[in-house]
Amino acid sequence: MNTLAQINSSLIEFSNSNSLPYEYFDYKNTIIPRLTENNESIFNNLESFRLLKYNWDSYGASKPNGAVIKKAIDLLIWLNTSEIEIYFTAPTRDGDILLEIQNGDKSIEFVISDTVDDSISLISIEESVESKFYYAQLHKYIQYLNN
Amino acid sequence: LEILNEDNIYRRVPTYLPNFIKQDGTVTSLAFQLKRDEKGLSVNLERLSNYTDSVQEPSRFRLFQLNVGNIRSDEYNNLDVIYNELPENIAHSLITGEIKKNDSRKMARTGIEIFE
Repeated sequence: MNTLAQINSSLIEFSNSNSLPYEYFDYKNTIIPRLTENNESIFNNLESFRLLKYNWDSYGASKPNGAVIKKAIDLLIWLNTSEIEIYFTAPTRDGDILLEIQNGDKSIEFVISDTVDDSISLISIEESVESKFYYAQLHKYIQYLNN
Repeated sequence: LEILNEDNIYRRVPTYLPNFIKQDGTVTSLAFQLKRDEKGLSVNLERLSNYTDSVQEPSRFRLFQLNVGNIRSDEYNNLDVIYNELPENIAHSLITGEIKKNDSRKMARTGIEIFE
């Protein structure tokens, strides 16, 4: 059985030769399924982050900008289209946005930023692996969660 | 001022817009992550503070306690806790060192909620 590190390493190797720049969700040419009740709640949370002001955590946290929120919503819609429920979302203290999905004792944390430096953590009880997030490999990440 | 391993420290965790508490009641590790330009994670030294001063706004924050000796132990990645008094906060201290995501997750897991 592959360890998380081995799985992620092979994903990175594959992605380096096949990675795509992130593009906003193609709303015009895609039939978007209705958000599940849970994902709609996550969507509302993401929208509420527009109301945040600097220092929302009382320790000097930055607020997420509109582009980051848009990217996070796009990812939410993609995951919802794949019938995946988002477990948790919150802004990071740098103004990025975390989206977390879970399956049993495994979880994946996507950290979306307003740069190309989005990151992903694959987490299990035994270990966790962090790397750059390759959007082209979303299906493979989801496979990790379901295996 | 010397901070002892026996000391405890407090960290506020937001609970409203945004809420850092997950559905299962656990705290997200985001609460214990450094900002990119930060030199240390701000905390309050328990023996120089109290619940009311540390939580500031109970409607927006909950308060979590960590033990200094635990933060300095091999469980973590060479972290320390140092005193860093501010004019407006004599209890202000910093968790210093390279706080990795795994460290933040441990803090989120081991933090004990403090009530008034």
